[in-house]
Amino acid sequence: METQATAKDWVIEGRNLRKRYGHGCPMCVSLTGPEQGNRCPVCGSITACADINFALTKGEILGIVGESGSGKSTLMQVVNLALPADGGELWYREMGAMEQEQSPVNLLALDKYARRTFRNQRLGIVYQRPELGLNMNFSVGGNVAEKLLLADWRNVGRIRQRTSELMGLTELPTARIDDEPRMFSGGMLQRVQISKALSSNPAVLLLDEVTSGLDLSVQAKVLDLIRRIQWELKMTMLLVSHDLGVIKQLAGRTIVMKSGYIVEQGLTDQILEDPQHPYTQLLVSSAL
Amino acid sequence: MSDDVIGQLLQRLTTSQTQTEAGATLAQAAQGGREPLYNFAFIDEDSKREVRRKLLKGVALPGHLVPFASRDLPIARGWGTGGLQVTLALVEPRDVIKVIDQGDDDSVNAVNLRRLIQKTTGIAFTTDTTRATVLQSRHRIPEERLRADQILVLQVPMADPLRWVEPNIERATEMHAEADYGHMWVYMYESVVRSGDMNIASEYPVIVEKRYMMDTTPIPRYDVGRLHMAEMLTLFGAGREKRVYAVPPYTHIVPLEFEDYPFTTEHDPSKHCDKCGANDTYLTSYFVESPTPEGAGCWTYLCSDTSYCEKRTRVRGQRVTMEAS
Amino acid sequence: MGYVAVKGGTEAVLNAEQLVEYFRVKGESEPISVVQIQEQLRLAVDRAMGEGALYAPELAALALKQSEGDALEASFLLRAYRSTVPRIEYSLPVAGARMRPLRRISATFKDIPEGQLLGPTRDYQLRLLNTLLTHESSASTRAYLAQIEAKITDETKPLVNFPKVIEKMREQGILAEPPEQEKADADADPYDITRKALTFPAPRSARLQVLAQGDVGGMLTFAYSSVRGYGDAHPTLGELRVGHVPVEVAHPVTGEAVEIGEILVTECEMVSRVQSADADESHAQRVARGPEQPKFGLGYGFCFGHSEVKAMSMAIIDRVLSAAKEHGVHGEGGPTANEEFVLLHIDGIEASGFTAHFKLPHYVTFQADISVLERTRAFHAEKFAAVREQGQAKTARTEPEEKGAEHV
Repeated sequence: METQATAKDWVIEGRNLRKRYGHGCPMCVSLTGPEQGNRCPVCGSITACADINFALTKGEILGIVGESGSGKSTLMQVVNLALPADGGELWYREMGAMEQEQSPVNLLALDKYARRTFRNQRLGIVYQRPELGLNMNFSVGGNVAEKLLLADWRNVGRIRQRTSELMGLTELPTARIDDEPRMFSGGMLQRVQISKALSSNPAVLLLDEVTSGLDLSVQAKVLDLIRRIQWELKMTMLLVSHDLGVIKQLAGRTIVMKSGYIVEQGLTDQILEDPQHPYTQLLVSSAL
Repeated sequence: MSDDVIGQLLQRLTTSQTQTEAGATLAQAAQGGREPLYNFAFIDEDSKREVRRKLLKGVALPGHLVPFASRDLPIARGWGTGGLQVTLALVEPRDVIKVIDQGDDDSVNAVNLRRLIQKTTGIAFTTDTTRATVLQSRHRIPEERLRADQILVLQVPMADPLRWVEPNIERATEMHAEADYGHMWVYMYESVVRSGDMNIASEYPVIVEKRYMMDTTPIPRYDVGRLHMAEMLTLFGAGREKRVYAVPPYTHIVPLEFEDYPFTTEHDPSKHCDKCGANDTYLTSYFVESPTPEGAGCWTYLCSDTSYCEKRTRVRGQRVTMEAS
Repeated sequence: MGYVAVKGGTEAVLNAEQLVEYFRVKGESEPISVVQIQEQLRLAVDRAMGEGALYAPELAALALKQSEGDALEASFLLRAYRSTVPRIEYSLPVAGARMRPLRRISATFKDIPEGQLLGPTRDYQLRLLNTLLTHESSASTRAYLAQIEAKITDETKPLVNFPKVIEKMREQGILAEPPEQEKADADADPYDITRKALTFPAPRSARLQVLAQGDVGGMLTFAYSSVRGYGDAHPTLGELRVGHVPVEVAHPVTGEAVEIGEILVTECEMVSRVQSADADESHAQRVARGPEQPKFGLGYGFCFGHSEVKAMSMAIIDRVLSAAKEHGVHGEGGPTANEEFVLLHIDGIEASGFTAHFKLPHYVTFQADISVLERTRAFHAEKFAAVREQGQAKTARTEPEEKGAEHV
């Protein structure tokens, strides 16, 4: 597969990432692929991610599109350091304000503590289902404050202030800071997740099917919010969706995945106007 | 005591076989008044060895919960079997024991525990905190400062401080292993936001030597600070939960607090003990019957540490007598 | 003298003990003999042995007499006594197949090898109080026994060895094999829960030990809930046996099996076809497990004495927990599928001890609770006052005409 040439200001670079469910066998690689599917007929293992190479540049929104079973959510969880990869590297480069070259770090080689600290401080993630990203036993304010508390913030006044600011940033009513998540609508809970994700000033925001399942009007509002945040904060984002419409609205560049492989990648507009791979063509033609 | 008596006694203690009649009488004569049917301190030597090894592990890892095979005892689970096993694993014939509950030597539960220890060891007891070598306590640390040659054993109902946020032991154990205490901090933050301050009244969580989060048992917050850099060794026994842990002497203990909501105790210097006059001890309210049948009776404050209170009262009384004379 | 008087606690405790003894005998009826309890209340004795985890019928009868029939107290006495008894050796595994059965039934097939043996059971009795029992005498019982003995003739066939019903299922290939890890553990020494603290995930050996000495009431609750819908169990009784099994140890010198006695036990095997898919499991994960080959899973129940409800509950719980482990079903399988939840709360001595401990003085912590309560009330009062002030200020601002010259 065509690999993206390393951009000058990349923040995250995945090299030869592999993730398999099952024991695997020598035939897995040759017997799986975009045409054959991701299940090895010999041993039954699923090749969720097969030799994934991609680069995420600072300030861009990179979209990953594919159907269910394409491996896009698995890739997201590998980048989130929540799922261990079976092979490959995930390089991260801290891009300071001076835009200097910082020495890159392979996140997959870090120990558990370092990974947890990195995930808390440099990453933010928003899930499709709020119960995955939030603790329903804590108030909304408590949820948004969680990453701050994990980063050793120990002043209640300042935490509360910062939490209120973050809620304002995502247009949530700050008066409801002490309410429980169950009193909020789906769209509002996505905003809560976004507030929480942004609380640590992360380098990268991961968005996993965040608008799937929401009403169209609510979806539009959340997408607007994401666009605004990207514009105001110059936030680097990785956006996973099965919906080409969402990808089109937000992502500058897109990766198309099928059965664990990248079949096509490039500028979103180009892919939508002139898809090269038959699968991409199928996706584009079936989109409204 | 003749040599062969000592020899037989040692033989019996080290082999821990069932008693024969002759052995029993011999042992009774040597020990003076303890129940001959059972091994010294009730528990068999192998079990004691396990408890001691686990305690050593606990001392080596301050605040870390060490699982142990808690034995079934004639006292009910939840009534001090953990503290009891720690005490019984440690005591030697020359020890002097103090047992208190709520700070009181005469509390029904302290009485009961003392009876079992008495029956199976025949060792000396005291109510004087300064004279005891091992002190077993439920819900209080004695007022008088403990020394390096003393051991404090605290009874623990629920061992894991993370149970407020994670009742599943497997997950909580992982959290301890990875020092992943974030959820506990959110819990504390939430309680400040909801009720204006930390709402944990007792069993207050602390960080030990900047590493493990530990439950201090249901001692009042007033007692929590006295664990910090203390001279004595403090051991914690949870019989039903099957865990022991330890705070060695001179250990760093910091209660969970926020910069703008620091840890506070219940102490109120405006309240005095009605008996000894102290305003620097932990007080609890008591209902006092009226001396006359028509009277209503009233609520008053008294020291929870009764032996200390009595000492102070005696000294006060002597002083009054001296002044009067 | 108060509950925690400065002096008098010791006296109170001693008096309380004397009163208990007084209440036991004040009726002045004929003292019950331990033998009578052992023989005529055998099921209570069996329960005490099972939960006390000590096979000692005479001691169990004594414990019941001492505790005035309180089953939990009796098992507590036995458990405490067990702690003092020296540990000599582990027996060789007891084989249910070698049982000298009193009773043996199966619900899986109508006809099973060697047939269904009902034995002594109340299952089909009508639950009507029998007032004749109040007039029972030694003469009447002796007459009844003579009747029964007359029916035993020389032609009565001796009991054969009953093969296990599940062995037939195994031969047919419809019984699932235990997981590899369990097979490996089976050859090693058992995980002795009296010598090693229980940790999670727990090996099956530990699980079965905890269940075998569990409180039958608690176990019923778990088993019942799991078959009523709070779980995935659709069990069928593979086999229930009650009878005597020989207990053997390996000879210390020759290593040969030596029989040291026999015990009365109840053994139960439940089979069920449990749904294998977890709703949360992704298609990828499910497929990775391999092709579906449904079989029946086995749940095992075992206890001292004759207690069918306990053995059956244990077998159901065991099946649910095994299924939960194999298929990673947590929480959604109901509370019974949560191994930690079941094993930590099933022991009657622990549960009753801790529940009862709330009777102990807690005034030190209660004083602390009061101080926190007062602080919280003050906080809320302040908050309320602030909110009300704000409200009043708002009202004043919106009604300047009525207020006239008054302004806040």
